[in-house]
This record gives sequence, structure tokens and C-alpha cells, in this order.
Amino acid sequence: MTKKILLMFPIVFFLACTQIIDEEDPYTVAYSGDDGCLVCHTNEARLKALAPAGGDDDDPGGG
Amino acid sequence: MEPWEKVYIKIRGDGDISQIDDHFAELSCIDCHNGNSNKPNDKAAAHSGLILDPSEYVDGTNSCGKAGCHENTVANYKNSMHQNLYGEKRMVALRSGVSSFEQCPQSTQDGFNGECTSCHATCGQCHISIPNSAGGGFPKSGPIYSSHRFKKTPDMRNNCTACHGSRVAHDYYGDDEAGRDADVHYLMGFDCLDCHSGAEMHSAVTDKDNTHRYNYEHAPKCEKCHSSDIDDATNKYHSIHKEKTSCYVCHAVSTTKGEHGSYNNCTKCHVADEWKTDPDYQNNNPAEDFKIGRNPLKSDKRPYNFVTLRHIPIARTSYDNWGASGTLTDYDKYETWKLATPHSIQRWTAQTDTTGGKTCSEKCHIINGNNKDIYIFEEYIQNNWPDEVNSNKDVVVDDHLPSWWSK
Ligand code: HEC
Ligand code: HEC
Ligand code: HEC
Ligand code: HEC
Ligand code: HEC
Ligand code: HEC
Repeated sequence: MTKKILLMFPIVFFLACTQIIDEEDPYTVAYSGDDGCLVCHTNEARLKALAPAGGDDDDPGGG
Repeated sequence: MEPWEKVYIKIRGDGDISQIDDHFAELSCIDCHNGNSNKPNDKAAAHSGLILDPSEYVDGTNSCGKAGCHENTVANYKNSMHQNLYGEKRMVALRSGVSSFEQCPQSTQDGFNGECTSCHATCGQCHISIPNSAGGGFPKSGPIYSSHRFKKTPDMRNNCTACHGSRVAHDYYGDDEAGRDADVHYLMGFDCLDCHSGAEMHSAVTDKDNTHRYNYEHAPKCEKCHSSDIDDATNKYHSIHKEKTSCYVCHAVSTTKGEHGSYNNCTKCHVADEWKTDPDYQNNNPAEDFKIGRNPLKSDKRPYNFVTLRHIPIARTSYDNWGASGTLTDYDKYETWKLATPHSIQRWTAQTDTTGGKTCSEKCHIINGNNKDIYIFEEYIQNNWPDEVNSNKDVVVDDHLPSWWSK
């Protein structure tokens, strides 16, 4: 068990870091598909900048 | 959920979006949503002409109904209960003294279409997004983003009870704080769709002016799954009450008697256009429970004399703020204590309690004035909502209890 965790740690660390590097500059268009919508809708950092937190409260729903 | 998460499509690695869902292999975003896919650096321009919900009907169809896609479902669903709210419209019409919604005063129609139809369900609200009325956007379960997947099976929590939140959800899931046990079927792992079906959700209504929530094809029935239990002669509760008393009278959780916690009646929070959540009101709420009354919807399917009723929040003045004051001319004709089918089923309830050697009917029949509080009497309505006495003439039990009971 401990061995597995020791192995997992560098893997997670590595993935997390490359993720940050990938998304470092949210405004540079990195996606090269034919659908421009994906540039934003698949990019966490861009969406965070474009749709900031706060505002509407969720409605609890009706009957 | 954060606002950005609601519109986030998570693609793994350098994967392609078509790996998320087959729809994306053939269709691009703008095929359904419109907008401009050449403007990724300008949010406003990219969204110009955007269709927020492509499954909303325009001119009788929607983007799911394109040739070769879901033409039949879209054609049927157009006339379904969930799309049109025929059940609600029917009651609005009847109380307004007319026979169809289209004959209601214009102010009522506009008010209803503005306020109430926001709760109608589009295809996307069951198969893609959280319903608008619950905040919209793609659902997320734990760390997993649904990423605009088109799910064949709607999700009980993200879809069904996002709309059916106040009554059904609280009953079905139970409520620790209120001390209410969950429905036995929920505890056995039943989803809404183990009893309700896709056909029930999709099918077209045939008689638009006369279909109400309880007169709907494909609706489930306790008897369908439990016929052998009901015919089991060793259960005297069943053999004596069969077809005379609805299952809910004995199997739905009621509070008046205490032990199992309360059924969530609408009026617990919501009375004649106002939300009543202040503790003062809650503590003195006269009608948070269902009552046992006479069956307002007697039919072959529902032959019972006695059923459970809930108090609905409709007042003679409810549509005044739509500019339709004085138009509920038939308010007195239709019950405000309506048939209820609480999703709070238990094997034993306070009504059937026999602990400590009580007889089977000790907590339910009215003997020497005991148990009167779980039945609906005219006097009770007179004392609490004098304006609703006439509406409920046909459901109060006053002259309809067995002659050998002693009030
Ligand atoms: C096959 C038609 C179709 C395609 C293709 C499609 N969508 Fe959708 N999308 C829908 C429908 C239907 C909904 C549900 C809307 C609702 O329930 O309000 C939806 C919902 C959404 C929502 C959430 C709206 C909300 O508030 O609930 C977003 C964001 C979205 N789509 C973006 C996209 C993007 C980006 C693409 C391209 C990758 C895309 N859609 C492709 C049909 C489509
Ligand atoms: C967007 C909101 C919304 C969503 C999502 C929704 N419902 Fe409904 N549902 C309603 C409304 C409003 C009515 C009342 C219609 C009427 O009485 O006119 C209704 C009526 C019903 C009825 C009674 C009529 C009938 O169709 O038999 C059932 C049962 C039901 N819903 C079950 C479900 C289930 C199960 C789901 C999930 C698969 C679901 N609903 C999802 C809003 C919603
Ligand atoms: C109130 C919720 C609800 C709404 C609204 C709804 N559906 Fe469904 N749909 C269901 C349920 C429940 C099933 C059955 C799922 C299962 O069997 O796993 C289903 C199944 C489906 C399926 C797969 C099985 C089949 O019938 O082919 C498709 C496709 C589908 N729906 C399309 C649509 C379209 C298109 C719309 C809008 C016109 C729509 N649905 C509206 C609840 C809904
Ligand atoms: C054990 C079976 C069962 C399960 C599970 C179930 N229902 Fe029902 N539901 C019924 C029955 C039976 C009726 C009454 C139908 C009738 O009498 O016409 C009903 C009626 C309804 C109604 C219409 C009456 C009302 O109270 O407005 C709605 C809405 C509804 N169910 C929603 C749901 C939702 C949402 C879920 C999941 C959270 C669910 N049901 C789970 C059996 C079930
Ligand atoms: C889709 C089938 C289905 C429907 C519809 C259904 N049930 Fe059940 N119910 C079951 C199953 C399966 C069990 C577990 C086996 C059993 O106890 O019979 C169960 C168990 C029960 C139990 C016993 C729980 C226990 O503690 O042993 C009661 C009481 C009950 N159901 C009442 C109802 C009532 C009332 C309705 C209508 C609102 C209903 N059921 C609708 C399938 C269903
Ligand atoms: C007069 C009260 C009463 C009515 C009405 C009633 N039940 Fe029951 N039922 C009970 C009691 C009490 C038990 C528990 C009996 C026991 O465990 O000895 C029970 C047991 C059950 C069980 C558990 C299996 C069994 O037979 O022990 C099921 C399922 C069930 N009822 C379904 C239904 C359905 C469905 C209806 C409506 C058609 C219904 N009941 C109507 C009182 C009632």
C-alpha cells in the first residue's frame, strides 16, 4: 500500500504541473480544432476569467 | 458549483471532443446553438445570435427533431405534460370558469406563461443540463464533470428532483433534520425511473383540456408491483380496506401522530403567494401535514373512498398580481385540498401503529373523538381558511364516516 502511494505521488505531481503549464496563459489560443467555441468551453482557466464567481443564487426548485 | 464549471467541457489529454459523446462527432456547437465560432477572443461576438437551449421548441420543433435525429420523440413530446403543463393549465382554466386555458383572460395567460412555464422541462433539462429553475449548467458529480454529455437516462438528483424539489425530494430522500425517514423504495435503491418511465415522460397527451397530473397514461401504480401483497388474506389491513382506502392512507408518513416525522405539504413554506419560512409561522403552521379525506378523483383506476389530501397554495386572489383580480369565478367549485400521493412510503406508519398492544385501528379510526386530527372536517377548514369552505365541500369527511365510529 505505502509503496503504491509513493509511486502515485510523483505521477500526480507531474500531471498537475504539466496541467498548469498548459493553461498558463488563458488568452493564448492553443486549440487547433475547427470549432472556435471549444477554445473557451474546454479551457478551465479561460472560463474562470470569463465567468467569474459570485452573483446568482441557485433556486431551490419547485413542487 | 462555480459559474465556469457549469459551462465547462473537460477533455482528457489531447483527446478529441467526439470522445465525450457521439453527438459531437457529427455536429459542431453552432449546428445546435448558433453563434459565431470564428470569434474565440471576443465573448460577445462569439455568442451573438446564440440559442441558449436548442431543445426549446420554435415553430413546433427543436434541434433534436432534425431529420434523421429524434423526430418521433420531438413530435410526441411537443404535446406532453412536461412540455405544456396541461395539468396546471387545466386547473387555471377551471377555476377561471372556462373549459380551456386559451379561453382564460389574456392577463391570466400572460401571467402564467411568464411565471409558471419557466418550470416546463425541455429535452435538455432531463438529458443534458440541470434545469434552469435550479440554476442551469452541466451537472458535476463529485469531481466528475458531465461535460455536455447527452445522457440516455436522466439523473434522479440533477434532473428529476432539481425540479421536483420541495415535495417529492424531501419526502423521498427523507430529512434527518426534520426527523423524517426516507421512502422504503429509496432505501432499497429505487430511482424515480424504476417506477416512472421514459414513455410517461415523453408521451403526448390526447385530451389537452382534461388531462391532469393524475389522469396520465403510463403513470405507475402501487398495485402493479404489489398485487400479491394486496391479495394476501393474512394481512387484515389489506383484506378489509382493499379498494376502499388508498395505500397512502396507511403507508405514507404523517406527523400528526408523531413518531416518523412530517410530510412536506406545500403550505409548509408557501402560502397564497408568499414564502413563509419564518420560525413563527413554521411553529404554528396549521397544515403542514396531509389529511385523510374523500377521494376527489374517483375512477376505475382509483376506486378508493378515502385518500390522502394536501393543502395547495391557491387563494381567490392568487392571480391579482397578474392583473387578473376577480377572474377566479369558479374558485368555490374546485378543492384546495387535493389528492396527494406522498413519496414517503413506510411499511408501518403512525396510522397503523400497534406497539404496546394497541389494536390495529387504535391510531386511525375515530373512536370517542380520538384521531379526529388526521381527517379533514369542515370545521377545521372554517377555522383556518374560511374562504375555502365551499371549495372543499366534496372532500370533507363530515357525513361520510362509518356510522359505528363515534365522533
Ligand atoms: C446536438 C445539439 C447540441 C450540440 C452539438 C451542442 N449542444 Fe450545447 N446544448 C444543447 C442542448 C439541448 C442543451 C440544453 C440546454 C438547457 O437545458 O438549457 C445544451 C446546453 C449547453 C450548455 C449549458 C447551458 C445551460 O445553461 O444549461 C452549454 C454551455 C453548451 N450547451 C455549450 C455547447 C458547446 C460549447 C458545444 C460544442 C462543443 C455544444 N454546446 C454543442 C444542444 C447541443
Ligand atoms: C424542468 C423541470 C422538470 C424536470 C427536469 C422534471 N419535471 Fe416532472 N414535472 C414538472 C412539472 C412542472 C410538472 C407538472 C405538470 C402539470 O401538472 O401540469 C411535472 C409533472 C411530473 C409528473 C406527473 C405527470 C406525469 O408525467 O406523470 C411526474 C410523474 C414527473 N413530473 C416525474 C418526473 C421525473 C421522474 C423526472 C426526471 C426524469 C422529472 N419529472 C423531471 C417539472 C419537471
Ligand atoms: C421529464 C424528463 C424527460 C424529458 C423532458 C425528455 N426525456 Fe427523453 N427520456 C426520459 C427518460 C426517463 C428516458 C428513459 C431512460 C431509460 O430508459 O434509461 C428517456 C429516453 C430518451 C431517449 C433514449 C430512448 C429512446 O426513447 O429512444 C432519447 C433518444 C430521448 N429520451 C430523447 C428525448 C428528446 C429528444 C426529448 C425532447 C423532445 C426528451 N427526450 C425529453 C426523460 C425525459
Ligand atoms: C415506488 C415507486 C415510485 C418511485 C420510486 C417514484 N414514484 Fe413518483 N409516483 C409513484 C406513484 C404510484 C404515483 C401516483 C400516480 C397516480 O396515482 O396516478 C407517483 C406520482 C408522482 C408525481 C405526480 C404527483 C405529484 O406529487 O405531483 C410526481 C411529480 C412524481 N411521482 C415524481 C417522482 C420523482 C421525481 C421520483 C424520484 C425522486 C419518483 N416520483 C419516484 C410511484 C413512484
Ligand atoms: C416498480 C415496482 C414497485 C412499485 C410501483 C411500488 N413498489 Fe413497493 N416495493 C417494491 C419492491 C420490489 C419492494 C421490496 C419487496 C417487498 O417488500 O415486497 C417494495 C416494498 C414495499 C413495502 C414494504 C417495505 C418493507 O419495509 O418491507 C411497502 C409498504 C411498499 N412497497 C408500498 C408501496 C406503495 C404504497 C406503492 C405505491 C406508492 C409502491 N409500493 C409502489 C416495488 C414497487
Ligand atoms: C388499512 C391500512 C393499509 C392499507 C390501506 C394498505 N396497507 Fe399495506 N400494509 C399495512 C400494514 C399495517 C402492513 C404491515 C403488516 C405486517 O408487517 O404485518 C402492510 C404491509 C404492506 C406491504 C409489505 C408486504 C406485506 O404484505 O407484508 C406491502 C408491499 C404493502 N403493504 C402494500 C400496500 C399497497 C400497494 C396498498 C394499496 C393498494 C396497501 N398496502 C394498502 C396496512 C395497509
